[in-house]
Amino acid sequence: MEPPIQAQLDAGHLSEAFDLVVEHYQHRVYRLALAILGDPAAAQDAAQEAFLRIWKGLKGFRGQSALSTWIYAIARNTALTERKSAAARPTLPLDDAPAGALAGRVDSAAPSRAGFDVAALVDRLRPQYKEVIRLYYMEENSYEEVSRMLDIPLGTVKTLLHRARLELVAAVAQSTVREG
Amino acid sequence: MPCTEFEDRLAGYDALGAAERQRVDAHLAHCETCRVWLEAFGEADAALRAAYAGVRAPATLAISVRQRVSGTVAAGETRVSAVPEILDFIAWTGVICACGLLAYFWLPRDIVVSPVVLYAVLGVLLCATLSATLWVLRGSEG
Repeated sequence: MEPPIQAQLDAGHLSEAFDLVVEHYQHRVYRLALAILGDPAAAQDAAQEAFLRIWKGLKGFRGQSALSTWIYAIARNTALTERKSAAARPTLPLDDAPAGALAGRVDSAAPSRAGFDVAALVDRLRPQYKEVIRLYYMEENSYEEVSRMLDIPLGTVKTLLHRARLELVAAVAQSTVREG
Repeated sequence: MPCTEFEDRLAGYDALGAAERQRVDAHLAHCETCRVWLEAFGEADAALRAAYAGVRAPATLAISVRQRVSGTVAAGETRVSAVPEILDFIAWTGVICACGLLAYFWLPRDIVVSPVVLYAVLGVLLCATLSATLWVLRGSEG
């Protein structure tokens, strides 16, 4: 997977190397941004910005770390910066949001089997829990991939995931009691 | 809440090793609360899988990335930074002014007729430097 990209870089074929990077990492960079931001449109913008930064830095990439580690670091930092600036922007109260403004959120795609809006409940978890739980399920239950993408130790991923599930199930139970 | 000792194990039940799972199962056999929680974890797991599995980047992402990158490449090819040339110009102007001042104070008075002559010479040198800088700048753009 990475060797062809490295070979193009070594040969000085930047455009070709970048095309391979986009082809190979677009979904993971997008999912990482989506896990951090929780909003598809914002994730797409962040992913675009991240790839632009990757393009600008590709010429100077000397292989000090694995290419994937470097790419994930850029994607993560870009999404975190975006989250910080989004938090600083004044927000529209949900009641005043124009119709369709919330369309396309992950939660609208899949109503849960158990009859609760799982993505809305995930949205209410603390940031670290949200990131890990979203990424874990998006990355097909791979602790290792989540650890690599978020750059946190494997044991921490497991702990965060367990805690997140626990809080989530407690929130489901609470909302069920409230509705009942 | 489930029994504190088993909280984490129930939340990560699927990833447990055989020995650990046996221990948890033995506990579940006589703990109704933990059984309910395990079932709830299973439901949440299925809901999360349904909500997040199979997420892929929109097809427009790669296209817009390539468009933006080709935009920067095109901009980078046509725009040449004038900063080095301007810095060159300032530096040479400084050198010429310093030489002029040294000449004014050190040379015998009968050689340097008046400050007017000196400033005229400096002006000519400045114009020459500016022209040379602009010539270099145009050359690098071409």
